Amino acid sequence: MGQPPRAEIEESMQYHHPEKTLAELPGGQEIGDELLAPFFGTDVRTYREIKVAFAERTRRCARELLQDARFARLVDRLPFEPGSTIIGLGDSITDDSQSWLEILRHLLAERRPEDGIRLVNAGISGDTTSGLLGRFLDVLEGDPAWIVTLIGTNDVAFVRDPRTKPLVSPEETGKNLRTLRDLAETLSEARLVWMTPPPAIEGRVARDSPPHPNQRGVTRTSPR
Amino acid sequence: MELTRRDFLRVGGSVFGGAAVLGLAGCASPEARQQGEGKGPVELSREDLEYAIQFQHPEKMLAGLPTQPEITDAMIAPFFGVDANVYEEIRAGFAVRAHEAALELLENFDLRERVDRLPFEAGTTVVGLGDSITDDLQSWFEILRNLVEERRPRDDIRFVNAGFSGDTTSQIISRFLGDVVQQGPAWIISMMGTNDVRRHGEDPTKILVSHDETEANLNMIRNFAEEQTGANRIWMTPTPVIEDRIADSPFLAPQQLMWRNEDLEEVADIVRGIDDPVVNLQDVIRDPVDPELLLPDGLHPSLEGQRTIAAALVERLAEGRGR
Repeated sequence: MGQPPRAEIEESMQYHHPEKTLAELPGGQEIGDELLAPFFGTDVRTYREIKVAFAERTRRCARELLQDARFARLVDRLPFEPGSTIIGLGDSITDDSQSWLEILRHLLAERRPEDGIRLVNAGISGDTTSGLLGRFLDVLEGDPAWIVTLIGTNDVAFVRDPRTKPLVSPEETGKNLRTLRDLAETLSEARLVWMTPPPAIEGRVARDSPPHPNQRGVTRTSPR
Repeated sequence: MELTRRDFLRVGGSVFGGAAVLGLAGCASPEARQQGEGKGPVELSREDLEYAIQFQHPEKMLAGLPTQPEITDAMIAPFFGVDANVYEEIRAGFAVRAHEAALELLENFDLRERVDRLPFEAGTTVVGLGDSITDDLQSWFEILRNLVEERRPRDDIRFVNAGFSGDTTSQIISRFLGDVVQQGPAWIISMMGTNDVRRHGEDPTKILVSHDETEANLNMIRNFAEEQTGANRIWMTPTPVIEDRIADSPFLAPQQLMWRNEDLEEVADIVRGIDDPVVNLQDVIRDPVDPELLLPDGLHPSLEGQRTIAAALVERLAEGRGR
């Protein structure tokens, strides 16, 4: 069987990191590139190449931002203690191999390499506030000093028909977000920061959805 | 008909979300989880390994990747820290038990006759939709598959197990098109809602999906099925649990997972309100539950519990009142 086109492998790898959920399985700690590459229809060399390319693009992006001296000083002043853990929590917009969190990772690596700040990408593509609630205790177990959350985009995804209900109703989203905050306050010392969902281009989402080879009818308002 | 890899489903991207893997059945006991942190493979007892393989089917999630990989046992076995032989042996053990459960049921004349009368047409597809209670390698759905294959081997009825451990009604919506509609089912048999009332955390905290939301989700799934498939539909309510056992379970308790029978009863009421035929499993497996009907985790039906569910479903289906 031939490999899928490179662009398809890249897009799939960019938004899907099955190792995050598979980590809970008995062999989950042993999952390496060799085991994962075949699921993306590729060999381990290509798989690693693509991973490196994402990291390089993200580093370049961080460096561009740091060319602004004022911005660089802001990074220096970020209230992250040396040796602490920062968790970025969310859906595909965070899970994305070149997401805001990955850029933040490189900003810190460039400016404060000696601080040993640990950034954990706990974004999982497709997640809703309800899904987050179902894995939030595991997130807290990572003993984060900060949790930065960008969630809610998939809550308002409509299946098939915008006249039906969204995946998670607005009242339910509100309840879930409050519960997440209460759990964090009760069970951890973490400081919380929230980001609102960015807007989408509705026409593009509609055009992008149907012809996808793995079409599932979920009209996503986030990148796949 | 054998369960082939082709029966494994393309699962929506959103399945990567949430409790898909930890879900209803966490795998490693607390000691094993600690031991597992970055220190090589977790050493599980055979019993724990079997429990993990019984309920966790990452191939269903991985098959949903946009690259649509061809998945073999050898690719999955390492996720359980075992080689393909051990993995296949354990899976085969569950297949044998589901088959034996079906044979035992068929010793009963009335049931045998009901299986013969099941309203499944030759050459059609039956989808079982739900969470770990369906995903279970020896679930009611696997027993149903065996019942039909024993009695009607020439009918070539395709059974698609669209159970996914840990799923809430909301997660089921997001994979409904791929797992159900695209399978072209003549029948959709659904059992869901148990994870909607899952609670995470020491303090009494919010159930994962509020009852109003569960009701809206179930109605949406029902209407979606009606509009998109024209399939016959039947639903089963959640089963009760043994709360104390869950609290003592080496798998569930460390994850601070909690279920309450009053919540499950509430969801059962909601399911009974759906405008479709419903099997009320709260009448079949009654609270307080006979411990024999549940696994030691207090949550999942045992083989005997699953067999009881399968028999109740067959009885209802054989009454011949579809949709």
